[in-house]
Amino acid sequence: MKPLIYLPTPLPDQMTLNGLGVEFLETGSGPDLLFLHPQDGADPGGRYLELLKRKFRVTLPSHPGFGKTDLPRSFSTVDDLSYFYLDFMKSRRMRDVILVGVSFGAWLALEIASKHPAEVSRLVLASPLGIKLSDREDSDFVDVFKEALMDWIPVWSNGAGGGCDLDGLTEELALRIARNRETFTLMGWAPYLFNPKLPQRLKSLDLPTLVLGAAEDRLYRGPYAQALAATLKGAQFKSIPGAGHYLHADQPEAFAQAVLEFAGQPQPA
Amino acid sequence: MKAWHFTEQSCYPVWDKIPGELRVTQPNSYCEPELAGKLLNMYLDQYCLADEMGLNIMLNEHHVASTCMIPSVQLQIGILARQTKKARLLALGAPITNRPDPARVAEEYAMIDAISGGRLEMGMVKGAGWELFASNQNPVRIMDRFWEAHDLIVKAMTTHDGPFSWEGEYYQYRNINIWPRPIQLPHPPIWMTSHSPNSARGVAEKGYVTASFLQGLPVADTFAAYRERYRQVHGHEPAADRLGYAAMIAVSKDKSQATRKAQIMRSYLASLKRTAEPFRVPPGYGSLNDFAKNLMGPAKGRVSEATPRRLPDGRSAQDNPTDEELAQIGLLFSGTPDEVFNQIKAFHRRVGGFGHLIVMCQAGKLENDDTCENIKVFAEEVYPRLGELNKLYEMA
Repeated sequence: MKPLIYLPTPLPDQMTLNGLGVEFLETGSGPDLLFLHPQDGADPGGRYLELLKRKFRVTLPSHPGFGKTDLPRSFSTVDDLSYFYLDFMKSRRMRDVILVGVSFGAWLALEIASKHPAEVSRLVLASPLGIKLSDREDSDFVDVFKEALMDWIPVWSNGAGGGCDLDGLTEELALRIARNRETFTLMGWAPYLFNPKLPQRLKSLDLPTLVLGAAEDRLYRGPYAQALAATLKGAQFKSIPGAGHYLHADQPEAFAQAVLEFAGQPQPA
Repeated sequence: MKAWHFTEQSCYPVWDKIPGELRVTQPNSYCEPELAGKLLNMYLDQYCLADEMGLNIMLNEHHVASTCMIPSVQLQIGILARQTKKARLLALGAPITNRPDPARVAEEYAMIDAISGGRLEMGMVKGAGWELFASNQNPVRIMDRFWEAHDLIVKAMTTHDGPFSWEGEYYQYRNINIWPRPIQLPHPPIWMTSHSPNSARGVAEKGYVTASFLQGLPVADTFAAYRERYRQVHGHEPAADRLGYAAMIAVSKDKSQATRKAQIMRSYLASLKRTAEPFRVPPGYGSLNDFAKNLMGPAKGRVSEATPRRLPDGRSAQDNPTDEELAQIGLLFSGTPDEVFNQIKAFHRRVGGFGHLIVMCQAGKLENDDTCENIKVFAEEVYPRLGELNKLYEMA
């Protein structure tokens, strides 16, 4: 198992939104797909992106606090991030957006969807977090904060995607990794990877939704993704074999195929 | 030079029964509560002895640890406020970012100052990384919370004309008006710990006392940064009493007795290693630069306990340093009173001087009789001679 799943390399495009410097990547053509990266930051070199951009116009930003995107001092929750994305979609003039998120990014997708933005047409939640399903004396997730930082990697990935070595890591990339982990901690420490307000906000959500679970997930203590899908109106569930939690990195072909099949379905009337 | 007796008040008799870590996750079934109570009373007695012998006293606070059984420094120092007569009472300190209610920290400190007749020295600390697993406070932005809590505590201590409100970024109150208020004006002296030049600079700006614990010779850089920043902000040299250093001490008129005690006290250094890696530096607790450097360096992102090893000639001591090396490194001064005095004098000179010596007369598995001998011999034979070190500092 390599020490990194992928390198969070810089994204080529920059913009300013509400006074915040934002880095992002826009690539491919087709329907709008907004890809919300997981806690390890954006991976612009991943195979998953190559596959998605063949069919979609993919926008891949770094969330505030991740990569080089500014973090306003008042931001401390995933809920805060979701308001940023409401503005982001408007400013990029996105329409009928397929919102695709992985792990922390899927939690963010749920937070955005809970505000019912007109721009979003479908949701893909890959290995989602964000909703408390267990009782107060249990946790839905293994506590990664009780694992050494370098031991987080095997929780996120089963290594099927190959991974990266630390050799040749530049200072810039090392700082990006540090910053990504810090912002993930800021927003995920407590409550641990959920927002207690989210279930009520999602009650009236009615969007075509695909929930993807990884067959070899090591973060969940139970069949969490499937159980979360059952709480969402109009959600279907699919398990990706041979993948750890970051299923887009571990099994990019199966991940992209699932997104494509789902997004290729006709819109419900 | 002021000296302060300090013990972490551990539950050391059970350490050997605990497999693995001594902090955070070891089940408290290993804690024998009657034994813990007996030990806590023993430590209180040792503090009272230090008071009788003319030493000042210092206490700390930790959570979820067999290595320190004090979950509230105010509770234990509150007892000593009543039981001691002369000693200055240094709480170093309250981990103010782990407390959700800093106004209560101010209240409790003020009460201790009142009961003790104005003998409190008020420490505010960031706390160890593993404390955040007990308090569940977020490691990220910890120093932002620290300074806001500090500002609030100082305002609570110094406001005498009725309630004030506070609507800060992290803390909100509609009515702060502490009763009793502290005897010492404007407030009890404030201490903060520093273990790097960067943190020392922040303390220097405020002009507070800073203390470093078992940092070894690198404390010279911490103190130098403090002095430089202090000069820039306050326009003059800091007095020696702005700087403190803490180390263990094993002293006896009988050299072989001191050697035996030093051997036992090494168990304290061994205990420091028994904290699991995830709890040492949670993300956000350290700086982004430190994390990035660690990731790019030979440690490849791994974090281990780094007991200081640097010797005066720049070499690094081997795994099991000699007693002489431990003294040179600045971890454990041991031997006869003359030897201990000379070791402290040499260390004091090498790091550029300091005005407070926090002596751990008890550490690790050192038993009560040996500790009491340390307190007595240090107080009678070493402490009276430390005054001349301050003169050295003033001359420098």
